[in-house]
Amino acid sequence: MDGDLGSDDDERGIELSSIAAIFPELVIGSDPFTASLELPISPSRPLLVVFPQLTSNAPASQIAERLEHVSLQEKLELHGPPVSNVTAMLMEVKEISHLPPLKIDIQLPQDYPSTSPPVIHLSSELSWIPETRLRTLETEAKALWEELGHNQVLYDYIDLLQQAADDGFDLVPKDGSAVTFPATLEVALLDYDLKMKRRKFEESTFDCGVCLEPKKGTACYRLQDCNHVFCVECLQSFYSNCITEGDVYSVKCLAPDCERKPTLESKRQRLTKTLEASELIQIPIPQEQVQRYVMLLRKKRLESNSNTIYCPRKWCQGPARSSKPVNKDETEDIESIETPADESDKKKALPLPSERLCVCEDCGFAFCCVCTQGWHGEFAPCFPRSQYELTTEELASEAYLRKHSQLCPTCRARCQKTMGCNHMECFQCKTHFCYLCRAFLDQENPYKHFNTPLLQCYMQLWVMEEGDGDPGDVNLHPVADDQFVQPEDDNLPQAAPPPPAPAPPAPALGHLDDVPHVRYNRRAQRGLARPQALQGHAHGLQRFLAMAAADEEDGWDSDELDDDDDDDEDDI
Amino acid sequence: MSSPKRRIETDVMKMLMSDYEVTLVNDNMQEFYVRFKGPSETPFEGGLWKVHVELPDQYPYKSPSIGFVNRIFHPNIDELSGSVCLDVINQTWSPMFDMVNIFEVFLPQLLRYPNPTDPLNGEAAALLMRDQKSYDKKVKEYVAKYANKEAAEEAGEDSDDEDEMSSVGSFKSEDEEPAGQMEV
Repeated sequence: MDGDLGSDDDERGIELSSIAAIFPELVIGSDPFTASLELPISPSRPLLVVFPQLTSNAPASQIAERLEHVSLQEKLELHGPPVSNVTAMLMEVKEISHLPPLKIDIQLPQDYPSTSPPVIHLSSELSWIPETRLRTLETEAKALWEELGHNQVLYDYIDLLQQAADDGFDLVPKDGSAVTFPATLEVALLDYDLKMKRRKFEESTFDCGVCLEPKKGTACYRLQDCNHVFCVECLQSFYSNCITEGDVYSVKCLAPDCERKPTLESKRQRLTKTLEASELIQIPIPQEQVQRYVMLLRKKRLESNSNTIYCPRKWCQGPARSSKPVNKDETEDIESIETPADESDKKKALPLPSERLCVCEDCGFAFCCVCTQGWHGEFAPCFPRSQYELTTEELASEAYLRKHSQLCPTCRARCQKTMGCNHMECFQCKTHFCYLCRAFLDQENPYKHFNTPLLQCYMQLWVMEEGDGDPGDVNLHPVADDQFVQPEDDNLPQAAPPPPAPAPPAPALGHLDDVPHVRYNRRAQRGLARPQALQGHAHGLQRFLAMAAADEEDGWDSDELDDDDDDDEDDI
Repeated sequence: MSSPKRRIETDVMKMLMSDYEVTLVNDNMQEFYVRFKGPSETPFEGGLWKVHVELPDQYPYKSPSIGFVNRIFHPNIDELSGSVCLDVINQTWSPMFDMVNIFEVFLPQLLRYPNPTDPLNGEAAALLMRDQKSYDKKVKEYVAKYANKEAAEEAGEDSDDEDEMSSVGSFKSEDEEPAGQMEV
């Protein structure tokens, strides 16, 4: 460098070379005694900046007026509820910590420093610093030179500029409010700020808290909300692992104690929030993983929402939401689920007819959320099906089971005879029993049951030898109806049927086919599709209790029940 | 995928440097036993347990599996398998935790503040809720019986499969008994 400066003994040369030693960015011009320096500007406190956009419906003078009066406090409030429509619309306070550099062109005249001050020209990229301010700073070079008694002044002057830059060139109004810049500068300034921040970040080194290794900023990522820094490799591995395993709620900051500024102080709300998909892409996480993440999040959100109704089409079963709760829930967060008490209250009351329309998000099927049939319009009556009610299909298979299968007297496992004699051995508990009457059979001599003349199964060993599967087959064996409690009864909390005592290994009670039973006939008349195969009963009281419990859920008329119960008592 | 391996090494080294007795299995850093002392001023004080640690390939992105080898009577630790129910090493694991955290903070905390509302050992939980004194007594009995130095060493000598076999056997006999009764 020194060689470039021409004569080494020249005071000016010495000064410039020493300045170059302090500011390596100093560029010596073609004339050895000119130089230029770009001073990076990063004010000690980030500048608060507003870029007022002049819109046609708000007169410029009004805005300018407002700008002058808006204090810092008011501006901060702009983030919250808007103070006034105009200001809220037009001003957003931005924080800028890095600004385009100040360019200092220095020319040292022949008689510097003894008789002439240095010739200084200041300029700023994008000319964001007001011209007037630059001119004042230029004149300060002379003042300083005078002050120092016509001595070498460059270092002190650059120092002065540096200090001015740190203070933001006094652009900030005294009351601490934001600086106003023309809107045309907005994009360029913000872009520059971002670029500088990124460069600063990339130049620094971070200790990744996960792999515990120091990494260059280029290999790291700063999480947007909490500013925690991790290396990209660790973030990728962790998030990929979470997404692959479906644990999408763990896709958040890796720091265990990181609470990403909870917006609302509610207990129900999770303190930590999962990352946005856009941020995952920035890290970068592979696109297909991000897609899966978004899909899983949506699914979990729907599943955790009690208002979600699934499409009744069996091949679809996509989520759908009814019209009313949608509006309410989309504004709420997933986490703010109502208390269980509320939910149970809600379940009891059916939604209003106007709120019953649901549209499946996947297949577009519009249906009624109460009767799960295709949408019938608001004014057509719909018959809500209780969830315990059986479909025709289920009823049919139930009827078939009643007709063409038998229960093990011990473990109640169902079996169907395909061929052979009526001596059965339970596949599950190995109990020996009679396929016709469910009586326990003596393991040692099972055929005694069929050979004792007084018993009803006498000589019946080979009845139905071809099996019990023919749909046209007549019901040859009675089924004790108390053994066939509807399967869903078990799930009912309010129904407490008495524990079924195993049928005693006593001689079978005999066919009761011939005893007409009032209740079943009545049901058949009412078309309740109760299979007629239900006939005969063994233990009066137990049966009564079981039926009472079952009847309760089916919602049968209690008056009728009472009559029947009386009949039952009479039977005994 | 080099950094996870390095992290495993770092963590094991940290364990060794913080005076834990660590026994590697198969000279593999991913499986080892750690001697763990019961925290002071708890009924577990004076106990010495051998804790089996297995670090998955994805450690620390995935949590390690931790199991007590010799018996311990604690609501959140399964008596037979020794598996530990602790949120920070399951659901809320963070890759910033390490093995020293587990042995210095999480496990002592778990022993000090058992959570009987979410038990793995129902008997221990019931006893703790009903009668704290008997719980303490029973814990101490277990400590004396199973968690002394010899027992911890012995648990090490016993090969793992043998241990498992015996526990499987006891499961079986327990299961069969009621089944047999039902058949009668």
